[in-house]
Amino acid sequence: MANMLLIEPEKCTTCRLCELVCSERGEGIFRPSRSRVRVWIDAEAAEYVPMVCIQCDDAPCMEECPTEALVRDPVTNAVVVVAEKCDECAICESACPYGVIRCLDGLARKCDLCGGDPECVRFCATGAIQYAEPGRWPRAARETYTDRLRSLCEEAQA
Amino acid sequence: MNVEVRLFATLREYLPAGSGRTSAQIEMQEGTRICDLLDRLGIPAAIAHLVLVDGRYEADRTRELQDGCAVSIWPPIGGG
Amino acid sequence: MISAYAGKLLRVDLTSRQVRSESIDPDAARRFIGGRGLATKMLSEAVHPQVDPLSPANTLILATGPLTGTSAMCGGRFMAVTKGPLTGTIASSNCGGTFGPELKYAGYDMVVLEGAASEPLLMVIEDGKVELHPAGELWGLNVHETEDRLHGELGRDFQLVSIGPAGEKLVRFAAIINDKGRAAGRSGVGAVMGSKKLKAIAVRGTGGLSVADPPGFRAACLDSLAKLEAGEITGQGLQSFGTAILVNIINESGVFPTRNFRQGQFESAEKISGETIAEEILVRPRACVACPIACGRVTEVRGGPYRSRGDGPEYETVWALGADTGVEDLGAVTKANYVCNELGMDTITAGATVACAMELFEEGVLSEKDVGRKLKFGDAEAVVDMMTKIGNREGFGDVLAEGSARVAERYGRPELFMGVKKQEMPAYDPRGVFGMGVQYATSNRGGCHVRGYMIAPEILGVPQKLDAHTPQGKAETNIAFQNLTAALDSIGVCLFVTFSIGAPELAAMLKTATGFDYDADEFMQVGERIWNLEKLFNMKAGLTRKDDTLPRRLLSEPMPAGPAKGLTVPLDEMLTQYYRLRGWDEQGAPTQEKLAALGL
Repeated sequence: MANMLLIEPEKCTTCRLCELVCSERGEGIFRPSRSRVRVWIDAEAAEYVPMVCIQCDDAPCMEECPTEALVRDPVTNAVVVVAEKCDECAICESACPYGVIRCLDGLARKCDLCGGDPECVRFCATGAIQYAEPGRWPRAARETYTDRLRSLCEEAQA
Repeated sequence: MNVEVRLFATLREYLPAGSGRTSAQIEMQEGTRICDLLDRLGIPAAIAHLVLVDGRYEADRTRELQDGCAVSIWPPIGGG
Repeated sequence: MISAYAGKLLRVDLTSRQVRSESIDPDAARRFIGGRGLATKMLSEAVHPQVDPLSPANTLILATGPLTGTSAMCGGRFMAVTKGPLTGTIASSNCGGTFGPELKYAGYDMVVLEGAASEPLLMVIEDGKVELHPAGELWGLNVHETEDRLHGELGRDFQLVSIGPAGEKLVRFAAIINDKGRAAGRSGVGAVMGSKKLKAIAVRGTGGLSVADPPGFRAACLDSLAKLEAGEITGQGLQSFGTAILVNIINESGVFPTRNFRQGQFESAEKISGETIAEEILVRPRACVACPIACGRVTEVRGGPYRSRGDGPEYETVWALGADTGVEDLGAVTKANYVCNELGMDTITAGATVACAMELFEEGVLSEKDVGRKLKFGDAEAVVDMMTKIGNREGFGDVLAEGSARVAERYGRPELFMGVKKQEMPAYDPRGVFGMGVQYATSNRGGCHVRGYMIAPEILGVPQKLDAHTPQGKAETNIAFQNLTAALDSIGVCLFVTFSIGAPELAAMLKTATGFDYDADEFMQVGERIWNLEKLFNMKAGLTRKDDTLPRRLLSEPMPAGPAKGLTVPLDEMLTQYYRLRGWDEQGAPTQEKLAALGL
């Protein structure tokens, strides 16, 4: 089974190296506002959450895309954007319950697992973002994480 | 003889059970050397980066300890 | 346009409220890099070194480095460079947090602040659009209130620097604060911002930065990251225990200045140590941008009279607000730190100034009538109270707001000022760390540890152990550290990387980012050029060899007890050696040959 990104938010320190290297990988420049991974920071509560795509099995973004611009990579299991097919409608963005696809500058941007060697993982010094077999992520921890992503996404839309 | 051992930062986990936050009194045989003390506590030599005996830096791990002395040990640390 | 730089600076005349964008000069960038170096060059050209630092004729430059905002390790920094109101020397204070990178994403490497406004202003920078707004409603708010208000009005995506009441009221050691707890702390850069009536800068940038050689830069970053992770200090120690992990080693070495440097050991050191902080008040570590080390502490005092939550304390702070004032209550020390963050002032000078006043009080020079209360060593409540009074210039706090050099002078006991060039020394007594003595005496911004951190070799054994109690070889090592740090402060990277990497790794990141063909030797030479330029600024400001000295206590009163018992600092010997190795004359002036060799 393909590896996935495994998140342990309690290990995050907010250095945001993940955002920096993700944007460089995706955009060719250091531009965190265009990063696929975003670190949500509540300084007062000292809560830090690296927000990444978990490549849902039943991916609503993929199902709802009217132009079939989102496809599953058979090797990495990532849902990836086919840029030529994307018509900037942003339906995927509103379909995603976790707020981890964003349409900016006319293109849907989401994590493609860097083709199987995620750059964010290479640069994460604390292990807050790991690339591992799905079985290594305890179900309860995974659900806590996805629930938090969903609530952050709802807060952002409210 | 008695030696006061003080262990800091991550080395505190090598303190014998029942010690204070950073220190313990340990009874050793006369002629015990710094390296013997490290062995007794199970501290790998490589991570005992700084050893002070009564506040003075001691590079020589074969130095014999004296009754009543205080041995303080740190892993590599930094700050500022 | 040079790779890695945003390529532009923002020049703001606050008097006329005119804002201009200018290009960064590539030749100057090559010779002075950015940050501390390039800003020092620009300040030297723009400001007469004898100006009143708090007058409109002074200029304040907030300067990032070329690596700021990239994935260079710990590359999230900026410098505040100006003539310092505490010292009368050049001031350059380093700051982490999030502001520096955001400024570059908005399109600017630097903000150059000239003149002074007639009413309080707020500057808002959003992707190349710059506006100055009246900020009367913000004036008087503390830093946290200011940040909360601006985040509410502008949005959380804006990154902020601001001053608190201390900066507004020209406390001579006011700081500029970013992210509520990150300070461009020393020498009074916040008072200069206050004198210009600029309350805050809010910046939001959605742009990006490209590097000259992306694969090479990535490899250089990964190499540095691997070394930082493998290093015990940068990989685990600082994140677990913060910088206050130093308390016990400095104390046991007998060089932990206690009660205004009367003693070298604090009997309650363990109560304010990094280990105790980690056990009792640490909520979690927090990093600056691009930093895998994460020395920052989010903390909470959970009970008692000082119950509150905030950032810190770090090592120098637990010393200044703790051992130097004789206070052992970690809750009080932490609370006093929070007050400094909120009011916007340097914890080192604030604590050391109260310590000096405490000695004056105990000597009978200051009375309860002068101070409005008792001010004895060890009085935790007094320290917290005085922080508030200093930051607001209330009562006797108004006197202490001038810093301890002026306080000791005013009351006829100048020898009780424990600092150099009117700036207080931090948390190491050089009577038992001789190299730190020559460092303090020669630092271009006065009493300071981060110009050349001799504690690393002399106490911590990094990169290798030097005998702390000999003057031999200290000038030479200190010069190398000073040059390295000057260059490092210019690229936008944090000093703490040097526990695990050095000039070769830094030059590799700089070269692949900018495309300039730096190697380790040129990197060090840029540092030497910057150091000499700072020295020239200070000489023109009127400083001479007699200012390169230490308090009488450290030169002629032997350490009373502990491992350094009986020692004083053999400064003359080290200083003579230092001038010679620097290529300076006996008066400490750079020779024409040296200046020519450095292209100055």
